[in-house]
Amino acid sequence: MTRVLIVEDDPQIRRFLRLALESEGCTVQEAGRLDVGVAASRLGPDLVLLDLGLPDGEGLDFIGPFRARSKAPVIILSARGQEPDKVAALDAGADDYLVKPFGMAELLARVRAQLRRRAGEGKTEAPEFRFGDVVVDLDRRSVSRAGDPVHLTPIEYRLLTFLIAHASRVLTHRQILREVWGPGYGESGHTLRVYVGRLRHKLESDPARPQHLLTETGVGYRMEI
Amino acid sequence: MKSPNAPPVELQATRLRLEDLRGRIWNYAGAVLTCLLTAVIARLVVPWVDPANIVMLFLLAVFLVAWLLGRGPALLAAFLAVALFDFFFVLPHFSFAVADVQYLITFAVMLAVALITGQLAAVARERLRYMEMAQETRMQAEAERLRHSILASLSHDLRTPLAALVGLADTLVLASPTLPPPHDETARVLRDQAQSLAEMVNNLLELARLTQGRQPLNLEWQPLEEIVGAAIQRLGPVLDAHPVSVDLDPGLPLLEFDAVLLERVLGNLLDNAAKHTPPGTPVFVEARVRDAVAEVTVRDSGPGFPSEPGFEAPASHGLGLSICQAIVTAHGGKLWMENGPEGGARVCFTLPLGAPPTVGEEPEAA
Repeated sequence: MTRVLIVEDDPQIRRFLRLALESEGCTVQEAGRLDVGVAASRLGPDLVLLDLGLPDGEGLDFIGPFRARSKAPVIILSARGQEPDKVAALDAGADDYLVKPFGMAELLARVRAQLRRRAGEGKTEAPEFRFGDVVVDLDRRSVSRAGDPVHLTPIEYRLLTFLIAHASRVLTHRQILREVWGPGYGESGHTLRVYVGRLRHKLESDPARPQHLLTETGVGYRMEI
Repeated sequence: MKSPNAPPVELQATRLRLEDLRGRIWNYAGAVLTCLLTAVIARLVVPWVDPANIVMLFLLAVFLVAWLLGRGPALLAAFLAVALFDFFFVLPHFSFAVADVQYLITFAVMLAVALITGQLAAVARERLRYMEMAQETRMQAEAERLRHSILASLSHDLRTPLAALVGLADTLVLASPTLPPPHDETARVLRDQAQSLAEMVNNLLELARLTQGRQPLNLEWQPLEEIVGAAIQRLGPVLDAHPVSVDLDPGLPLLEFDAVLLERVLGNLLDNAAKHTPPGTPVFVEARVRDAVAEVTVRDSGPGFPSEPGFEAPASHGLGLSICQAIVTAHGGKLWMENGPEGGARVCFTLPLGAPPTVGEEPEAA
């Protein structure tokens, strides 16, 4: 049984989340305040839905201490126009975010994706990875699309494998730049965007409407399998 | 921007300097006048008053000049007061000669006191004016903060119940077992209406933030293609009934814009196109460089605008186009609407090109 902790101050939104999650077979625990949420998080939930603005503090303050104890996915509940807050939450260790208002299908899709990702962690890595008509052979460091080999530069390949390793997670520009380009590239957002564009032109069937290398505007990128 | 009748900048500056000079001359004239007036009054009351009190009258005059007219005039008034006192009230009268040497001490003390009080009064006055200005700035900042926090709480208070409404209505739509047909339909309508209300609130809040004018744009150099893709992705099912064709000039350079806001522009334009055209008709997004600006066009194959709208958004298109206009203007571009030669509505906007940063090429060897 999957245990989900909801930290959200609005009781009606909590009710909606509870109804949706229980229909999915999850057990739900609710917290309307940050301190209650922090206390409840010690029971070791499998997933956390976290509102950023709580009456007794910032949801952001929940993430760091929780991450230090648990690897359970944290999904942020946020409003449009809060991009800097989302980035801060993701940089602190949150895994994904939902923009209010959202429907049940969107919520459950995100929850399932995070639980699946968590379940897959720690297993021996498959030597081969597929999305669409693209096959990435991690052993031979080769990429092919519809059977034809695709040439990637070293940075493009590193970027692709980093995104694959964190599929379904929203990665901020800063996280990607630090991991793929190394420290000191924190401000080169345009470089990252140009490289993602090149990857799309090589791997997506319509680069202007990508199906896998998705943009999270103002935040970062997400690899969708 | 200058109005055509406004004089050139240098002339304006000269005029300002002249006005300043005129003001200062009046201040000095005021100092002279005050001292003369004091002398006249003192002359009238001299039969009843001690010479020491005449000195007091002059000191009061210097103090008033310092307080009202400033440091320079006060200096002039101090010397003038001593001279006038000597001339009219010290024997021999109507001469600067002094019979009693004691009066030299009076003059010295009078001058010293006049100079010091004049200086102090002028400093106090300047400090007071500075404090008033600081107070005013603080009040402005306070009002700005208040506006900001009202907007933030309004945003939270409007969005929270809407989010609950959309979510709860959706649990009814997806309930199992499914609701009987009429109720199921009602639940769907509830959800969709709440959803579009939420979208309207988003637009309103965005417009309020933009017209408040204090929100800095988060400008970054980026490819337009990425934001086109993100806007299409976010609209999702809204565009299901319309094939979207994207044609971006491959030579288009990186552009400097706020990604979140520009995605909103493209999202609103695509949403309008989908709403105002019959299902099945295509929508086009095009971009190219023209006359040193990037020009982006979103056009549809529907009935077009009711009349040639130009730069004025027709009311039928609601808030969406007004926000697009505000966002594009904030980026230093312009947005206009027209009907295409082969029919259909077109909305075009421009973005300045600027000088994009270069992206270094990496060595091919792994």
